[in-house]
Amino acid sequence: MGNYRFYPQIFLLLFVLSISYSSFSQKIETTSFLKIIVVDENSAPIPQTQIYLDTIKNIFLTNSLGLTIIQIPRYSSLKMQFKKIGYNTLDTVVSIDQNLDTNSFFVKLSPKNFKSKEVVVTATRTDKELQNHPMPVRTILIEEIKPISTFSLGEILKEFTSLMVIDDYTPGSGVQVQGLDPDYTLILINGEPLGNRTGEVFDISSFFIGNLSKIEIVRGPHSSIYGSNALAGVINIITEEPNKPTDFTISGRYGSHSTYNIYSNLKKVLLSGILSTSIYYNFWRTSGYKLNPNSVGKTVPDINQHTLHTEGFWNITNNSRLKISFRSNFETEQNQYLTKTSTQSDTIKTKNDVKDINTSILYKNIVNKYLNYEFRTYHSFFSSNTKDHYLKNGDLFDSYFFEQNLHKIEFQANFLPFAANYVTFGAGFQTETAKSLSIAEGSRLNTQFYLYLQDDFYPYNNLNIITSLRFDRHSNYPPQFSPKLAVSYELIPEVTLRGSFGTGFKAPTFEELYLDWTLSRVGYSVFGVAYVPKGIAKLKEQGQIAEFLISPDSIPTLKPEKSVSFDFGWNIRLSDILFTKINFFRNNVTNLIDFVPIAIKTNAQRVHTYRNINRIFTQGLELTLEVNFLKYFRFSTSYQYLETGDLDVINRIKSKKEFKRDQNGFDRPVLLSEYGGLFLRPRNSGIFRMTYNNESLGLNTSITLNLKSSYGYRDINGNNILDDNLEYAPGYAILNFHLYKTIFDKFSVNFTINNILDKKDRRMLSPTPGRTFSFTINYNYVQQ
Amino acid sequence: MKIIINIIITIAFLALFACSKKDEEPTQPSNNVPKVVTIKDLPADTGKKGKFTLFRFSDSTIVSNADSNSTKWDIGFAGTTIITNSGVRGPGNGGAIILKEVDFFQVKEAPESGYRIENSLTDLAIPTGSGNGWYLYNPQTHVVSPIAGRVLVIRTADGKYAKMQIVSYWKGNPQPIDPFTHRERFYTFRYVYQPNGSRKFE
Repeated sequence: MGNYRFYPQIFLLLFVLSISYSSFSQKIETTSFLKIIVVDENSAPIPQTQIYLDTIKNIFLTNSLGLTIIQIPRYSSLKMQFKKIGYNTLDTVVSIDQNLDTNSFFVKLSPKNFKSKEVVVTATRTDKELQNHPMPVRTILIEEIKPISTFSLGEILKEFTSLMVIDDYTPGSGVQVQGLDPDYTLILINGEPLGNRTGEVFDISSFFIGNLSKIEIVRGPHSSIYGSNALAGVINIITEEPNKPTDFTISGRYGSHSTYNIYSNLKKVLLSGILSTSIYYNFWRTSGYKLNPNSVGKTVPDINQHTLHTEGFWNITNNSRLKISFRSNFETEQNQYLTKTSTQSDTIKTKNDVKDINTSILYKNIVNKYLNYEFRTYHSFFSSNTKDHYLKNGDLFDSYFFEQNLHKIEFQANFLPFAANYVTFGAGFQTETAKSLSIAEGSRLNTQFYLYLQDDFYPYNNLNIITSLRFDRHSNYPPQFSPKLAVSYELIPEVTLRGSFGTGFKAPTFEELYLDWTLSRVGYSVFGVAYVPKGIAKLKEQGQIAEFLISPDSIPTLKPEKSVSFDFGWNIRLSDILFTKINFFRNNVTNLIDFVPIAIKTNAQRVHTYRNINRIFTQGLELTLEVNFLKYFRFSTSYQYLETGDLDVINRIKSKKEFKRDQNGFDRPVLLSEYGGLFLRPRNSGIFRMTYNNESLGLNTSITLNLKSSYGYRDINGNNILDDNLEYAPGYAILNFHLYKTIFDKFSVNFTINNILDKKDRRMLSPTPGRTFSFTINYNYVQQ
Repeated sequence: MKIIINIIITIAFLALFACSKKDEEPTQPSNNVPKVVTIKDLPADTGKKGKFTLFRFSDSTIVSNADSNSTKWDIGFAGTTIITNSGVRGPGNGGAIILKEVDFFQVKEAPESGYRIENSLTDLAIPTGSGNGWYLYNPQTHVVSPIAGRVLVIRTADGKYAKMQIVSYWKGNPQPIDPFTHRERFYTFRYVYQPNGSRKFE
């Protein structure tokens, strides 16, 4: 940031180039020359820099070489100000050597960006600066989340991103990234997987993370470092590490539908930083609600949930560290439903208990500035128990359980083999056991081994190329290679161009491979592909098969679903006033796994299995815009335009093989213009947020408008594709209001109205009970 | 760039098809096409006993199962299975062809040959299974729907011809279908029967 004496040779050259040279000799006695070159951190010249000389009240601009030559009276010192969009303004006073005819200064300006030093970890599994990142990365910081005082992952994503949160409490709930189904997005907490459960709904709206420091969202396939399920994107929740002697927060929230949320978070640093710990506890309950007052069951059930997350850190030496993390989640859901037989109908009470316990140990060692490595273990236990009883007499109607154990060990090393290359190598091994009555022979064990390699390369200061490749060897499916290439180029400090190409895969689930399930009262069956021969043989033996629809021998082994994707876009930032990001994307997914009937049983019910059939695409653009104005205001928007489709359906439509029928019974080919792509994909979706944040008053208030255009809801005319106006659900707008104020130093309160417009429709992507109110009070004690 | 090009191409395509939409709209059947008969809610083994409901086109009558070994019936319905009076199912000269990607009202003539018969209990004139015969099954919603553009041309027990369109598999032909409240195994269908023995339907 200081001034430097200029190199005489360059000075001479520039001096000769100077057009004011001729006038120089005439005024040698009373005036002198000032030569200023303005450069950035990388010593590249910055043109059009505004230089304000306070002493003579005049402004000068640098030329394309970052140079300006000014003729001024011989002062002993000068007060100057350097201003340039995208850089920190520099005020300085320089002393002038009055014996010299020309004084030269070399001025360095530091780039200004309000998130410039932010480091993200998710996209590369290494610490990497967010600015100029070659992949589309987005972060949501705790500072933004605190004022809205909700720590449910689903609510946070709905408030800050245009991502589609689908939580209708049916399989498939979760977040839809780039138009791909929720199970194509990997959700991680501190890099370890969450919600990747076989056959289980991971409900992101009842997942609470009051101990977070930020959420990183990376779009596009990342199987090249994460393996299965990272097709559409990765969402990584990063918890806050203790950094003060004592930091204690307790918070209570009460809202409509008897919804309570209480959490406490204690962080402590001990023994002058050698040990530290954090303990987070969250309790959440809701009595749920019904959208249809006449229905027996609730739209959202009665839920009780306890979460404990504790972490311990031991800085063994200055360069090595051990981290132990333990997280447990216990949840009980209660609801009712109606069951019908041909003679009577009964109300059934259902109760579902979920236990989720995870432990991880991480050891990290920085060997020297060229090499560091980490070693991690991860153990996860998950169980789900459902018991259904008749309401009238309490007799057992049905029960179901599922249990899963996962053990993983992983090693990762990062090293700098030669200049400007940062290489990451990782290897891991994992075993997974699933137990359930509906899994063939009661339980299954899978093993997996993987390797990944990544090179983060800067051929030039403003060009970054990341290549990565992962190899997965799994006991259930053929070996997978997943490559990725990502490039970013900083055109000028304000503009960065970026693009990436990658592949992803999603492994067949336990269900798809090993399910052996018969809906007891109806009698239809589903078999996993690997179990089809045995399952069919069993049914045949029992004389239950009436006829085959496809030969059970002709069912091919199940392959992982594969994607090939590319994206490109640019980031533009004009200091901290305006920031905008555009990303165009296209994903092609093949081998999509779908349900197929294989046989009809003597009870007239079907036997199903799974098959790789469909090919789909999604494409569109994502736009982010942030504008800060009038000191306290910020307007931000995230918008997504999305087109989707099934490529096989499109081919059938083009060859006029896909038909539809009108109300009068006339059949005709479906027109391409009528095809609406995949269901549950709004073409336009976006959020618009206006925030007023006045830190000196401790006041933060915001309104958020979340818009979805209409989308295909279900097939009505019987051809199983979206091609009729009746098959769409209407678009909708959700308006939320938040008011946050700190009081008495240690307290803060929040008042929230969600869905002010009271929009209710059971077809909504995330149904809401209508307008709700909630009130939160927080207490935070910090010992510095 | 490619995406933009794709979007432009797609828009161009959509525009093209939107323009041609009018030409493709079906015209009303002329009034000289006689006897489009519509049968509503014909039960098809609602008790799931494997019993076919037998039907005769000439006078739109349900035939008793006692007459299953006669030529009094032309087709039979049980669940999603439709049989003809032929082969292993009956003594008649029946058979069927599934015409694909055509409109029922546009079928002017029954094909001359290519009729399938009931070769065995699993090799039927009208194949079973989603997408194979007359219906599509949606495994997500459990709805069975007739496939638009498919017309069943039936050769009757006495060698005459009828063309037939399945309208609905659900009682009362509800729209939209809710498989949890509506009852399945009730056929609504329309047909044209040519009593004079020719293959012409007009």
